[in-house]
Amino acid sequence: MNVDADVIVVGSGPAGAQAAETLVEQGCRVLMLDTGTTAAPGTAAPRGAFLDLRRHDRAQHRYFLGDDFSGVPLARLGAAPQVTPPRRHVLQLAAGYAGILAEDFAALESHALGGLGAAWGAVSFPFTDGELRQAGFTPVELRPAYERVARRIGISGSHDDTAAWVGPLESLQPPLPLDHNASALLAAYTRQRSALHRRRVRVGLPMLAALSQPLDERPAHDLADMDFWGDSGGSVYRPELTVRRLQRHDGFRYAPGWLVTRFAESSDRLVSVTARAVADGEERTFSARQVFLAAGALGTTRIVLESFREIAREVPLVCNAHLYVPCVHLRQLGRPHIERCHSLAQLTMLHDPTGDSSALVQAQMYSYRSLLLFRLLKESPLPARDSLWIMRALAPAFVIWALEEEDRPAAGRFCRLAPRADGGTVLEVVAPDSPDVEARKRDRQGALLWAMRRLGAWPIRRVHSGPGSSLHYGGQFPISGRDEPFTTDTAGRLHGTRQVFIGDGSAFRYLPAKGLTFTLMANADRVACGMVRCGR
Amino acid sequence: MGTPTREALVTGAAGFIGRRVVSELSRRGWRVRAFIHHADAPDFSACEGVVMLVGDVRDPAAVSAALAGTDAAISLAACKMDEPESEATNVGGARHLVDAARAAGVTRIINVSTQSAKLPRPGVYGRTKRAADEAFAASGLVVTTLRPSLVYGADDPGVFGTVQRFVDRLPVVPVCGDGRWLSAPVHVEDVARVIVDCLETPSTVGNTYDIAGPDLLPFDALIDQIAAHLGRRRPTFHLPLALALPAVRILRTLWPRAPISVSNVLGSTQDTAIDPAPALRDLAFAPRPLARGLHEVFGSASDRAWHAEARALAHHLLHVEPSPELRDRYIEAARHLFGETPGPATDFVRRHPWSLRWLEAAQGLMRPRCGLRQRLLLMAAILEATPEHAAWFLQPPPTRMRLFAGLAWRACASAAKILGGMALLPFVPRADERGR
Repeated sequence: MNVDADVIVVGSGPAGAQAAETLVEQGCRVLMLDTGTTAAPGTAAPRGAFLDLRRHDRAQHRYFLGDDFSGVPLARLGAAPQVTPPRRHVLQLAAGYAGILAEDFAALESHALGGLGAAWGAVSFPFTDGELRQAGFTPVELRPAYERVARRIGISGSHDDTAAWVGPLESLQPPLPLDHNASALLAAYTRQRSALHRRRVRVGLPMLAALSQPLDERPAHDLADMDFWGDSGGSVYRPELTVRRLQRHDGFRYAPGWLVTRFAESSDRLVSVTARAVADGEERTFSARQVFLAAGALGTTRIVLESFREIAREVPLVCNAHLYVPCVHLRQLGRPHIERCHSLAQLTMLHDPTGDSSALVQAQMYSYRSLLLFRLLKESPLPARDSLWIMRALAPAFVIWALEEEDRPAAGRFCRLAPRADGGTVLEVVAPDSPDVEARKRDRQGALLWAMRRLGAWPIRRVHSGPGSSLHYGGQFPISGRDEPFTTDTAGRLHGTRQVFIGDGSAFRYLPAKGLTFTLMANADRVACGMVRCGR
Repeated sequence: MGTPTREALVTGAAGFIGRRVVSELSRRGWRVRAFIHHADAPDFSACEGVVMLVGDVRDPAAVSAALAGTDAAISLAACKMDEPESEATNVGGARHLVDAARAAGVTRIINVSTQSAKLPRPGVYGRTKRAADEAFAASGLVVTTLRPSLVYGADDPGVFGTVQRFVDRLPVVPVCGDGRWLSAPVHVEDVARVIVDCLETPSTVGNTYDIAGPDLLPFDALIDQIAAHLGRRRPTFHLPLALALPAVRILRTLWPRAPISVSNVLGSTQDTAIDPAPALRDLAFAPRPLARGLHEVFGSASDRAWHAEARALAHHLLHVEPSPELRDRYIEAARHLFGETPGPATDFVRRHPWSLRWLEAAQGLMRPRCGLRQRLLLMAAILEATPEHAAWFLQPPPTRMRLFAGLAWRACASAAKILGGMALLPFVPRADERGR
């Protein structure tokens, strides 16, 4: 049997891209199988400052609202706000694909080049040692991987008051400049530090995968405030950048248009991967010595369960809960918005409810401007014209905290493969609400809301964007010291296989509040290094 | 080409019919002298071979100068609203044209007259036009007289346009007489075409033709059709002639530029025997059916309703008239997102745009996800994502004092609107609002 590559990487998201880069660096021949949807031509926002585009671009409705007006939030439950019309393709699934069945849970997959990473908010905190251990990792193994990835993708930020609750990171670019809201809140925090510390709340700058200095061919951030609509000319990291760069390598082959359905290990120590062509439904089998699965936690779960034909087998599901808290920043009332800024996270706030930093809660602060006022209209019960006036008057003082909660496996919450009427299968996601968990969350959120008020940002309300809307999924095949089915070992190898490795969120035992993307990439690099060693 | 280009004088060239006649002549290769009263004339730059002459048909010298050297004249200049100068313009103008034509040796005249000239009891307009017809008939020149019935078309300043504005703006349409007056409305483009056809058909010389559309119908039925095309339903109010005439006389005395004249009243209450057959036979006249003509004037009822909706929303949100581009963008999106049929509240707003500010206030509180609020959100998005209105949305915040004063004012205004809207809600037909 002829071999297509040394390693087949399934998926082009943050994990797949980083693993591919590590493997290619180590001299492996890599074939990346990906559905690989890209944005429709003409939907991207042009380069330019937000205010200039607003004042002069006659075609701005094409990216602000979308040609299909998908940017106007008419549905009750919208996807994450960062999935703006220019990023619509990120959640667009291949034609004829119906892989997931979920009720009251936003189980979203991406078939885009770069996966969900193409719409990622770029907040990149390394986990603390405690969080790493609870998630199943060995901290000393992951630290060098964090540094390697940080050097590759470029992380800006600083070590400040939050350092105690954030993992260490040496390779940091200087932080991006703060906007008016963030500087005022940070100044207020400096004045009130001891009071907030007593309630175990800390505020600092976020670490962002956005460049404050040029890196390789990528420019520094242009502070054009267009981060919801574009990537600042490549300054904000997207996995697509890695894939495009790797394509210049002989050892790397990118094969878009393939939806991987299953794998099988044969006796000749090869793994065959079966994929369906998106264009015509034709099935084809690729083979390699090793497989790195990074199709997104839900996609990988479907592939693994399908490969073992495990109908009705329940595997755990964890997903960060997500909450928006819009606030009016009283000190900023009547002051205008500054011209040059970025619209990524401006500040981060951490709370340690247990006192041993084992269950942190985290919130990111965003200033509201470049998402336009009309989005707020549906939240207001007042008459539309008056609402618009009020929103316009308050907008520069309007900040939004995005709260993220950790999530651990719970009984009754799982994924399983269910047969479909047409003979195929579908991944069923079952995630009922549990009231006691909600109550505990409200407790923990209380301290953060108190801290916001203390800093002068008065919460107006809490907006639950719905279960699953954080798009952070994991927990299906957790790293386990014991030799159990449907777990992975410390090297990332899937139980019951010789050369199939799992590189995405499905290997995380739980999801800390920090957001897993940066750690996903570090872990992918670590697993890829291990694959090279065991493949030789 | 063997034959030299022919040239025609058109008096009243800036008028409702005159404009169309000028372009029709130009399209058929005539050179045109467009004789206009006021310098602010329509733009004929798209028509080839048109020369504009500013003058008054009451001035014999101006008329002879304009006519000298042409092959034909089309007489359209007239005072229609019983103005003091009606006699001098309608009768004097005709006489001057006859004299000038004799002097210049012009051999072809089309006299555009009116059905009003046939009325048993004419007003100033009917009487002067009849006198003009007689002057042309007695001239011994090569004249054809055309008597159109009610002429309709876009931007009509006459009877049709007045009715259209009444239907659009008034809850009840006043009608003089019993509403059974028969007319055969004819589209202005068809009139322009038949005038030029007539000019080019020598066999019509010496004849008088009624120019009528194919549908003969009572005035009330015409108003119903106009209302239907405007997406409205309007009851009519019949004013007996004995009351209407003195009322209009008083109105004209108090307000000389009132949109209705005694001649209008007389012309729209007495039937004339319209005989369309000769024109159909001699001129192969094929006027368009009324339904098609009205559709061309108004667009479809559904388009009108959508336009009304888009205008109401934009007026409410930013107090602006939406540009055609934004209006069409809204309609395209709303059709795609909400479908063709509006919910009852939206339908109510389309018919009564003033109700929007009250209704949406009440619905915002009671049914925040109702169709009307969704449509407002869509319009707000479209108005915001365009450079035209960026200045409003990007205005820097007011000072704190003004901000707090503004917030207090907005809160009071909102409360008032919500209360007003709740009072209005019982009058809005209710149905399942979901998704509409």
